[in-house]
Amino acid sequence: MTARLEVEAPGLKLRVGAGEIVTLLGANGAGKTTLLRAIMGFEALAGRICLDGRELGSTPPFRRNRLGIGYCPEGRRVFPRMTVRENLIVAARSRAPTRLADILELFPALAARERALAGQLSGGEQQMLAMGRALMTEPRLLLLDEPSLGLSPQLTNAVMSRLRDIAARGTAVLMAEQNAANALAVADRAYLLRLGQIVREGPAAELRADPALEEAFLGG
Amino acid sequence: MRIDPSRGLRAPLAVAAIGLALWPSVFSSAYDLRLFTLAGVYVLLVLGYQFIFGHVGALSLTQGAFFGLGAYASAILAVRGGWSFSETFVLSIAIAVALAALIAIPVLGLESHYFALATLGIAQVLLLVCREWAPLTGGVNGISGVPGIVLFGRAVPGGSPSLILVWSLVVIGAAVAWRIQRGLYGLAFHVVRSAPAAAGTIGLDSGRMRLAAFLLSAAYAGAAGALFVRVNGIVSPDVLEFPVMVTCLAMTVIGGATRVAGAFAGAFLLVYLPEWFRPLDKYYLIAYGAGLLVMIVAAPDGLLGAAARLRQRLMPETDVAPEPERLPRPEVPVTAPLIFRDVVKSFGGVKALQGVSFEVRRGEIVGLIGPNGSGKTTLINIATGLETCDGGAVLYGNQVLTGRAPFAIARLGIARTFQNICLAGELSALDNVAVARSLDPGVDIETARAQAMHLLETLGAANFAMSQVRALPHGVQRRIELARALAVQPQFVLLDEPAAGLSEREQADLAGQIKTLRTRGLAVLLIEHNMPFLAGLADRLICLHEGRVIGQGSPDEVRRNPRVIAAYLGEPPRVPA
Amino acid sequence: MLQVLANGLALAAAYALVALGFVLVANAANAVNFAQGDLVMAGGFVAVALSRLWPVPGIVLLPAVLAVMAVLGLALSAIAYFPLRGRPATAIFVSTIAVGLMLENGANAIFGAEPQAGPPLLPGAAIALGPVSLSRQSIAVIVTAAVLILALEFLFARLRFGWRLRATAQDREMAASIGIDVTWMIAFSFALGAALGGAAGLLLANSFFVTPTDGINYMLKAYIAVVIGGWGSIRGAVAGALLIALFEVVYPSLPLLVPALPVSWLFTETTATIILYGVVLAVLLLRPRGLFGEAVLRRA
Repeated sequence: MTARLEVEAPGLKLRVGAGEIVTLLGANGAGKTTLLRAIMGFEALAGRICLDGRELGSTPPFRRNRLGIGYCPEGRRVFPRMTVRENLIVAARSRAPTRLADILELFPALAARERALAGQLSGGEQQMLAMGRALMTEPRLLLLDEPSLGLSPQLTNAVMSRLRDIAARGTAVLMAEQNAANALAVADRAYLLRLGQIVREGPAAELRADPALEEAFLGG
Repeated sequence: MRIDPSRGLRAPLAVAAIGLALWPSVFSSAYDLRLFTLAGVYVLLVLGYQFIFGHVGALSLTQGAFFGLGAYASAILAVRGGWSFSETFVLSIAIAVALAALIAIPVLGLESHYFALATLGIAQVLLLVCREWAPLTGGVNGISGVPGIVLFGRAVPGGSPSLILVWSLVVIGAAVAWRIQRGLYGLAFHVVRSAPAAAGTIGLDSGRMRLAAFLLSAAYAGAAGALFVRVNGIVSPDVLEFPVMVTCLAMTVIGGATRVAGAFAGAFLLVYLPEWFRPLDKYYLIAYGAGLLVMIVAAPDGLLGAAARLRQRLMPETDVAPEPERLPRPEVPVTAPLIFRDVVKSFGGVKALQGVSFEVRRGEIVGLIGPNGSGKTTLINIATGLETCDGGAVLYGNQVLTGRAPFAIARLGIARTFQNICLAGELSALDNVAVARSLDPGVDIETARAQAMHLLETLGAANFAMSQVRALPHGVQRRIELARALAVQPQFVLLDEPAAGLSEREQADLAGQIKTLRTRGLAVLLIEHNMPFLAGLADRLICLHEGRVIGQGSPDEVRRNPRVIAAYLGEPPRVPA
Repeated sequence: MLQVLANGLALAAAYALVALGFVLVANAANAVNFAQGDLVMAGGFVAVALSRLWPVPGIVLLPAVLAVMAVLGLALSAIAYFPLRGRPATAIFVSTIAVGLMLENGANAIFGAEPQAGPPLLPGAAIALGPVSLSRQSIAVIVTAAVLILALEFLFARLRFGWRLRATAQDREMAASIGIDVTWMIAFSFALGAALGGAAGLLLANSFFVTPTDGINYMLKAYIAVVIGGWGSIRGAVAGALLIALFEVVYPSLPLLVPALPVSWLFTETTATIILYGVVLAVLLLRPRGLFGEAVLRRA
């Protein structure tokens, strides 16, 4: 499997391949968000981050996006005073109409609200929009930070199944999730973080049953 | 590092001061004497401006207006009313301060850009009023024939005697400013400027400090204006125009906004440079702007700041840490618990807290846990006055804490640390802690530093006392923040993720220190995600989820509580994967 | 009466351009550009200088003025904004005050301190509109400004580039995360803001003359417009500018229009300005976030 993303830092060695869904687990403060932000270039990391074998170094975030990394932050952060359509198209590279049609097919809820202002959407709709916006940039690697935060279980399921569709099309997906059960239900592999280091890794099925998980959050 | 970087400049500054004092003796013309006197007037103006612009860090654009107001007040009272110098001098100051007090109410609370532009508007109004209200102010022509200074019935002629008088006042003003800057007030202003969220939580009333700084700056400006008009003999609306304000700003920035010596440097430079470059006339004004720009970009603490840093680089010296001194035993007025009762808080549509109730008793360590977004930090912010609550209350004894300002709550004995460390980066560790001792009225800066030293020792951070905080590692900074919290001699300490980013060793040390607090009878409430850290430490755990308490009890009980487990690990999805 | 209204609208049109330039930079860079007023003055002087070289109607000079001012705006961002990223807000106030100072004194050195007249937009005398004759200049100013404002509206509503500017203003990090070169967007916003200010300078230079010390006055007008209209709101800035200009023009003319009022010091232009400032200060006292609240929540 070709590695899309490789991260190498003290105590942190991870890789994500094309079409895989990999999840980062861990309590708050474990370092999940920091890691995702570092991959996107918003923060520094004492180590190497390689995309498709090429080291990113100090490439600024906007260029990392053009190289193929999409980012869906914690708290969604859509552009509040732009419409759904504008939010999506402003992120497009070219072939905007076809790409837009693709995304709207993936997220039918958005198609119904194309002309609405993003700031007035519900939490779930904003999450879809944030993901759609990131996807409009045609990423080969999609980073998601806490996609289920504040969403009802049904919406979470909807979001997670979309992720499966996205991965099926060849995109690598790396997400940080506090809600381990949701994440492990859809992920192929998982890494458990604690204090910025990876303490456990493996196929999702294995980790679901691993007592280390409960211990990581509530252990003594 | 140097606790006081200017100390390295003492020798050169002393030489400069002597040179400055002797310089007028070689003046040959009345013009030279007047120019030197004028420089003194500007030094006073800039000293005043340093309070609001340098120490508080607010861009006030009324300094020129207060100056002009003082000048006009003196002129009008002297020429129309025949009042004496001492009377008009005092009144000019009083009028400037009165105006400052009047506009402080709407304007001081404004955020930076609103404040700057609102003060500019006020200055413009004053200018327009002066131009138009001819019967009082002489209109566009101003007022001339302002008599010179008459003291104790004897005229003080222009030239040397006036110079000496003006400069005596300048020296007094500088001495006052120096005392303020070097004492605890100077440190306190620093914290208000660079760590405003923390200022209230260590007992600093930032609102009152800002007001005091604003009034002081107006007083100095009024005095400067009163002297200005006596030296020049006339006043015109020019004195209220924006260029005067810009000159004051430029002098302050170029000299050094927080150093008394900077006021002298800036004033002299910008009074004398035009004289020396007279042939370049129109162009030196462009150089003014360029100089101001270069300064703010490259040397934001002005010439004096750059000089201090240069001196430190060439001949590095470190200050010796003071001898530690124990803090006096605090009286414990109330031994009541801290009670959270039905606390409700929403942010927009999001319900952060939906009726949280529990209490923290003295001599306990309580851990507050819960997944992200459950409202824990909001709860601490409400208890320490940084946020208001929409319903319910936080009580301490028979005092209601909710609704009080942060500094009032700190003075009642509630201290806290922050999730994202909130220290004044450019100050030393020692000074960051020492400033929190200012809430004890009897303490001066030496005692505060000695006591801070003791606190740092008890937390094992004594070696870092003299280092600049922003250069210190994360774990050490957390300890400094804790020392600062303890400096207010609290009964309750609220810690927000104190173990975040600490190594195992540091965590063990911290746990030990928290246990010591418990032994001394304090109560500790800590937010943490780090379960191993909490397990051996907390007497009780409280778990929040989506703004409600879902579990309380001993650590073992809470960790086995199925609702708690579900909250952290998530419900498994209803629809099969 | 109609002429008074026309004058008011012409002034409003120019003020709107100044305010728009100010708001654009405030939104995109999250910075207060104290030099905006001096940029207006600079634009006026550029028009004066160009018209000395080519004695053509002002409307022909407009593209050149826009171009020169855009370059000036880029330079401004390079020396006064980008070096100071990450510093407290006061630093950028001071740096832009400094640049404004340089502009003012530069203009003084080159053109002298006396007011200069800029070229009229269109050649020719008054236009007859039915029984009333209106000054050609007023009409030209209103039309020109309207065209510029509509062009701006078009940029933001229809063109992808304009959408990118809006995205940058609303969330800089997220804009970067979708591939927008935020630095270039901010620089362009400065250029655009300066161009708009300069255009206002050209429009005002004929009727109101241009003096090196004009900067402060325009700066304050832009600020008041933005406070009234809501910090960060583009439509609000235009509305605010309209209110200010109409008030400034109509108020002193009230004694002419309403014969019952005494002609006295109460109705001079200066009094109008004083009342305006007073009202704004009162607004700030009651609503510290501006009359209609903040359209953009600033990162303080």
